[in-house]
Amino acid sequence: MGLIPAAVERLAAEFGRLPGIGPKTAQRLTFHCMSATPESTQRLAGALRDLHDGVRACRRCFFIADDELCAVCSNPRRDRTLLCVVEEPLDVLAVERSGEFGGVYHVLGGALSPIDGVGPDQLRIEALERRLDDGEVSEVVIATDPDVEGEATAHYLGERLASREVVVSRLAHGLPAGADLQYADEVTVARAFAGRRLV
Amino acid sequence: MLPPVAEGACSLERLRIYAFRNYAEQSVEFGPGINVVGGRNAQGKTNLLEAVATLLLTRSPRASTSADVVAWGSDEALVEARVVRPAADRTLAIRFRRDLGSGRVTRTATVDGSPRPARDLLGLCPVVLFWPEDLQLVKAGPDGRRRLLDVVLSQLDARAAADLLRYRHVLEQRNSLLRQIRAGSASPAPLQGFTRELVSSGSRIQVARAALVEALIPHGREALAQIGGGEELGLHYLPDGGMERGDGLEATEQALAATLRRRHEEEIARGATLAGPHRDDLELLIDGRPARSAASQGQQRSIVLALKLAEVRHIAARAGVMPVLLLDDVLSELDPGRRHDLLSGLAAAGLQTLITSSELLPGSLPPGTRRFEVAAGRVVAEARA
Ligand SMILES: Nc1ncnc2c1ncn2[C@@H]1O[C@H](COP(=O)(O)OP(=O)(O)OP(=O)(O)O)[C@@H](O)[C@H]1O
Ligand SMILES: [Mg+2]
Ligand SMILES: [Zn+2]
Repeated sequence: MGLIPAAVERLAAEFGRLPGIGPKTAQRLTFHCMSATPESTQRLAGALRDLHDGVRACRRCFFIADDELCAVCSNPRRDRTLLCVVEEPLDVLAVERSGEFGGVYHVLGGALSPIDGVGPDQLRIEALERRLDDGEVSEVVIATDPDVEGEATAHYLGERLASREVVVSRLAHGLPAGADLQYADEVTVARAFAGRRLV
Repeated sequence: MLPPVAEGACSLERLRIYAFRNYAEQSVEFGPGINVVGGRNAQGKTNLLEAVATLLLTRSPRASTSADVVAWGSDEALVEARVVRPAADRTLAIRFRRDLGSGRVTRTATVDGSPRPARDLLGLCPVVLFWPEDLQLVKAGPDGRRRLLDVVLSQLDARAAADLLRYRHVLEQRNSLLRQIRAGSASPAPLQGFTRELVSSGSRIQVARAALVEALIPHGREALAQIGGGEELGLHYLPDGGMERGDGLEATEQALAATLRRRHEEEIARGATLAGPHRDDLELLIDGRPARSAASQGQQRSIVLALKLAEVRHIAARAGVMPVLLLDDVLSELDPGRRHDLLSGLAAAGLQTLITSSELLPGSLPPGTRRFEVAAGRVVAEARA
């Protein structure tokens, strides 16, 4: 029998599975929850429980949405001729924070990674091509991460879209090599947009 | 034996380790000069040096995964040291944690208590390792010789350190894709993107290695002249993929890209990347002849020692500070005369040196030498020699 009751161990183990949380932080969060009011822990549990029911992927761009379409796709003031391709939904938030981009997005759902069995068919590339078919988009900005997988994906997309009547550009390298768009600061992301180059 | 450095030496003042290999919890105060760690076999002498190397290089030079260094039965390990540096003293720490979900061990680093990317630790206190395997450096395969170059590069040049990591990663991705193409389970279309990445980091590595070898040549020659007989040591970098002597980055890139294009079919048939710095070699010559076939046992030992001293000299010249030297179990390979010369040379140059030996090291040790005794994962005794 351990020093700590099983219910406490269980919650600490769950916190410990979250990214960026080590055993000590997990314990601190658990003890914090224990000293909180039952109402506030209920609220937390409720938010976790409803997360998957309340969120879905946008039908058009695959960013997270309340409804069929996300807030970006349903905003009539966004420029539909400019489309930014990112790896993950969190990357959309990073680009939005920079305030530099007024177009719409397409979330690939990852990057090419043979080790993990991710090839072009595992990414939402066909969906991207279908979006480009009607000719409304005139420029595609590829904003995949500057790591090995992101660069290889950008190169592949550049080739695959080359025969289309659309300008394809790549986010400039203000971003540190191997960095993640999600963690870049606003100014860096803004600069990367300003300096994008043709592929 | 080693020319003095204007700025002084880096050294570890206090080492603290927790749940690392067979150490539960240990703290050691090293002296600024020579430190001899004695003890019977399998007690933890090498593990102590490994802890130091793991901290200063951010990963163990001998473990294949981080999980190996965490003490059996523990989910966490820590190595921390107060490092005395001419620029500013620092406390470096590296922490290993087993993720309870995936079981994988990840590492995090801090400098003076603030979290930093592990690569920021590289070069803060440069280190030169001399491990028993290094005695085979002349005769064994090229991996050890490449590693010798890369350990120096990654401590002196942050860009090269990043390129080495990136190259290792893209090589793994590209080989995996080539195997899938061979098996018919993947289309070759994404290959070109990975090839470009391989060529750009690969040629930067080759340019950096070529410059490093040029810089090591005179140091190695002088070091061998001092420790050995009258032979002349030669170093000859053999890049794979078409780079010619004197080529800059652009020519190197073009050569490597052309070689990969030419070997495309063969790469798919073999399911492997067939050109690039992962196939480089460093040829060692003694009096102009390949040391691999021409050097005697004794000459091989002298060559390796000369290479290690060349590393020290190059780091001292480039970084402006003396590195820490770790000698694991290699002193017993030297005859008493040479051992004495080496130790007094190191002491005179002011290098901090950590030496392990399961023998008593007869003969006089330089004044100021500190002795430690390791038994069953504890440093049990400490005395001035
Ligand atoms: N992860 C680990 N956890 C606990 N113990 C370990 C771990 N890895 C290795 N050991 C133990 O450490 C011991 C070896 O220590 P080390 O290699 O430092 O010996 P040594 O004193 O250098 O001996 P020698 O003189 O033979 O070189 C082994 O007995 C091994 O069982
Ligand atoms: Mg040993
Ligand atoms: Zn949308």
